[in-house]
Amino acid sequence: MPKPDKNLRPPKSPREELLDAILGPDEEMDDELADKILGSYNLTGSQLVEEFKLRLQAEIKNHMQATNEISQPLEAALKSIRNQQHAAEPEPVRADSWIDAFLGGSIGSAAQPQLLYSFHRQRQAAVSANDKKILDELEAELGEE
Amino acid sequence: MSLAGKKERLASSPEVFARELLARLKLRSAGELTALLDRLGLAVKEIDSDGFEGVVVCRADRRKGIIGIQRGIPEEGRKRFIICHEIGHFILPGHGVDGCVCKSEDIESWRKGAPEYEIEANAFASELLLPYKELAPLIQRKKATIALAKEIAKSFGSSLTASCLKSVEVTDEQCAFIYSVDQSVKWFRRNETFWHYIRGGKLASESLAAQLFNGATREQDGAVPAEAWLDSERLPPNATIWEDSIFLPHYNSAITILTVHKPF
Repeated sequence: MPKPDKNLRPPKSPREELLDAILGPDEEMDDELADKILGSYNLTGSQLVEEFKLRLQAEIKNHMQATNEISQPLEAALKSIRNQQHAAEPEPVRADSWIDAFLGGSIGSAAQPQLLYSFHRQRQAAVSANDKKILDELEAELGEE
Repeated sequence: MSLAGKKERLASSPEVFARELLARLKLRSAGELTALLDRLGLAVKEIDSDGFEGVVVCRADRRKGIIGIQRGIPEEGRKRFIICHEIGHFILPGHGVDGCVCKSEDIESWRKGAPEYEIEANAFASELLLPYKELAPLIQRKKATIALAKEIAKSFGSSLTASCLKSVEVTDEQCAFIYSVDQSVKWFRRNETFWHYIRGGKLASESLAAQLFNGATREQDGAVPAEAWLDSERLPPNATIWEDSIFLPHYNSAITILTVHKPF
């Protein structure tokens, strides 16, 4: 009898087929698509992980109160999530390399110079009409230079 | 080094970024500001804003920018602090992503709840104007007082608030800085050796600061009952603390330096 192919997938259930039809098959689901789908629900992957972490923490606390023992599997899961979150964080920026890059003109790579600060567009309600005008003038002046 | 998205974490404090900048530009402190501003491609313009004291508008490549500063700020030191604060926003990684209008209450302030960006820009500005290396020998030879802070403010062209705060941070004495507005403690900052709990809320009538608000004089110092400022539960009876306070009428505010002059 030939050795079964370990990559052979079992047949899909009707529910899986339905989900495939709605979301696309699993094998086509990459990180980008997953982010897009979550984004359409105003969610992000890191948000969901953070929420799950909080639920896990609450669960560990409840378990501790009920049994006076720390649940090892739950604690291991929490540790794993923390490690994953830590690994996902960008490296902190070092002062020496940042200042070097800044003075060397290699900060920001916009081919077409664009304005970075547009406060009045971001905090419409917090800026008066007079201040909006001032910011517009400053932007215009900067654009002329 | 992305300028967009999640705020970048600094590997070291904003003060270290300021020190690196000064070192690269071969400057001992921000000095007259002109050399620093020119080197950074920044221009300063007075504006008639009614909502903010300072703003920086710059290009994404950060080759050029304009700092807007509210017209009519009476103290030169305060103006210079605001300019350095805006330079902080211009230079520090992650700043400018969310945009921020710098309001009066957030500049030179370490109040609880102040946005992280503002606290970082304040720390950066403080180090640019008043570098630790330059100040430490001066302050550690003397006592942290408002008189000394005035000398520092004059020599370095900084504000009295920034000079008092820096003196408290740098001194070896057990000191705390307190900023009160309209007879109430607005915010305070203790140095590493001052571990006493400072009470918030309305100023105690025994404090010299409270008397300044009542128009007695502009400036006072002396020993006051420690419970005028500190949580009284753990204080021994008759404990005193040295208070040095000055009233700032333009801001209806008082600055206080508290020093533990007799250990308790």
